[in-house]
Amino acid sequence: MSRSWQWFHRWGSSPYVFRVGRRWQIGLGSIGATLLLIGWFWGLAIAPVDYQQGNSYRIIFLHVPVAFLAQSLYMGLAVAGVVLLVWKMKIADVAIQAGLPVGAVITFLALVTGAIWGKPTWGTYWVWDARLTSMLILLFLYLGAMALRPALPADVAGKAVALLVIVGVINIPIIKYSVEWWNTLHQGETLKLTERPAMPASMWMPLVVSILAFYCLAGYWVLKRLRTLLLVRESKASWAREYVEQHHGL
Amino acid sequence: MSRLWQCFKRDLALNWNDLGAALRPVMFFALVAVSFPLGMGADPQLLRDVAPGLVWVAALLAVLLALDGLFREDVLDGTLEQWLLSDLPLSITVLMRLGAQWVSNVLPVVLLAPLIALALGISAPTAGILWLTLMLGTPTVLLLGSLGSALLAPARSGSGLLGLLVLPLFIPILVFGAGTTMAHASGVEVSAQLALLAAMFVGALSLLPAAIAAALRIVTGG
Repeated sequence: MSRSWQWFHRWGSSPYVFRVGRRWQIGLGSIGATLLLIGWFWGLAIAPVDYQQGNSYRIIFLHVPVAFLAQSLYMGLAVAGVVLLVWKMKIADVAIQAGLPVGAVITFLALVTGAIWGKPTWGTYWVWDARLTSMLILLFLYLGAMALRPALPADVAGKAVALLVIVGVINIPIIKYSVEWWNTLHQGETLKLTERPAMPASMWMPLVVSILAFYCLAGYWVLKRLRTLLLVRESKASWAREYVEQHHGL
Repeated sequence: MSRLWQCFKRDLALNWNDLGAALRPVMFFALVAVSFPLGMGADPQLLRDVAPGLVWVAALLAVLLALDGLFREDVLDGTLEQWLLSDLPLSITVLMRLGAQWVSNVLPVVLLAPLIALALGISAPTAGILWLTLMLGTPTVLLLGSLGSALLAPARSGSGLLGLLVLPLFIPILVFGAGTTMAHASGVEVSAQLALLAAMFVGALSLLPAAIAAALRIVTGG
């Protein structure tokens, strides 16, 4: 095997991922926390007040990052699914298992923050808007994929979940498109997402920082879960036993 | 080809022998549809307005019932292993099984649906469109849903989980199926929507058998 693929094959080895993953975890965690402090201080304290929505718009610095993440994480998990089915890389299976609950929580958070934002802006917590509804469906896709694993024998569950996630990702654009079409059918009744005037830089720059912060923090969270799952799955292996002995004295 | 035809006839014969089980979805469909007027009151205007969506949701639930345990017995009694060993492509065999399932379990629902729609106060031409959307839409739904049944084939209890897995995937068909009927009821030309439903069916027909076959291979460890 040529040298250029070595980095890829190394990620097939659990002890390597566990060791290197720790460095990535620390890096992503500290960068994410710093960026979040900067982004939120900038956004919550320094950025100007919106002339239409007042201060209530500031939830944007939480809502938009989690809404971005909810979809990107699903895409990422589908890529991991392809890696598992094509290259039979076990670590991708662990990554899917680690990522699904994170994605579900983030999607839930996007829905809740959206509802909280909707109350002062639209006067209601929930409207059957296309974007809200497709986000809700995304949550169900996450929950379905999470529920499949425990129902199946352990040796086939990983690939089955991967296939389901991939089919889900092919369906997401179709669902989104159809929900948008459904929404325009009822246009008279629904409130539209207010079309924002182009944001000034003093607003979108802290937003970009917050989005980056959330991506880093999600990476931290997924890696933390992934490394714990590796320890649990390989609890019989010597490297895992050594680690637990050294660090937890068990 | 003749072997496929034999398999198809075997599946139909099995379903015919257990007619009670094959007709369960249509009975369930009728009961769900009847429950709505009882629950919401018999205001004719209200019923007419909600009828397309109501019939479509009831049909989706009935298909869900037809999907429950679709491949479970094949895993248990070794039929699936024969399918895997056979020189026929698994996706074709699966397609044959789904065809038999659609004819014996879902077609009764599709045939009853216009009658239910008429009883809910929909005009006859709109009921015809509803029937057409169901003819085009339920095979797609069956294809999408049987991916869930294939994944759950080795699971002990799958019926509750099946809905969670596949109902989100049904949403485009539901939106276009019920939406087309509603658009027709309000006097809109619907041939474009019908063409889209047909396109979804063709897309599902060409892509999903391979995915279902992959799912069956995965869960049998083959």
